[in-house]
Amino acid sequence: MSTPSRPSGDDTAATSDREPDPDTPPGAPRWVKVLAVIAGVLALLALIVVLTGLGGEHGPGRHTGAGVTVGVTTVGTVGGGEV
Amino acid sequence: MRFAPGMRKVVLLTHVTTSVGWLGAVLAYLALDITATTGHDVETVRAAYVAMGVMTSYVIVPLALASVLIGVVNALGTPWGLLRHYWVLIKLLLTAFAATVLLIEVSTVRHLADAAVSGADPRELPGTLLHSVGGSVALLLVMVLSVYKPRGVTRYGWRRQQAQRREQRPAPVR
Repeated sequence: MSTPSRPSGDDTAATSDREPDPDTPPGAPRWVKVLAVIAGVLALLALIVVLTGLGGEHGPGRHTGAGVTVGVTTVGTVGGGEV
Repeated sequence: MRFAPGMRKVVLLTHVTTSVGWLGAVLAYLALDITATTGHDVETVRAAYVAMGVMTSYVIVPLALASVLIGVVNALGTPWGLLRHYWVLIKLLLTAFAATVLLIEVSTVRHLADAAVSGADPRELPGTLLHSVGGSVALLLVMVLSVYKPRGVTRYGWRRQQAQRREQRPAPVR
């Protein structure tokens, strides 16, 4: 996957009309900025879903936890509250 | 660190095998997840949840961990490096994020499989569709980056290139 066909490639000039300055580091290419914006939007959406509870309770206990707790409580009551 | 050509082929082969295998396993999991979430037959849905649990524990998690680990080794052993090119860096972030979410999600999948065989109606379980779709998209994006290798060096990569050029430049004649 990482076969280095052009490992020293630098494309800053490909994404800019300006002549690259050899003494200043290049900025991030446009495709990186687009991906960063998409990742930011997705992270914001995920945060909203978690904070508003739209996605429901999260984690392994969301389906089985309640049932197990009820079962333990019931057994504890039947057993004289020793559990 | 640079690999010898023979070693590099072995590491690259292992990296491709584990990465593509991870994607394939996640796509197979997605098919089971869709079956579990939308299926009407109780036994089919129950079997899908059990298969999801087995696949996650014995196929997807080992492949994911191997893919991340060997991917890092592969990058460090080639001229691409791990932090020099944006496409390698973003691949690293995506695979690390996907593997982390996967490890968090493993216990949920196991609980769903246990709940499905416990006798309750498995059609009432919600599945893990959001995670399996998200994981598939992330791994497909990783594949696209691996093949297209879009251009762009990071600041660190640029500094390393500059240092290498200075080293290769012949000393001025006095």
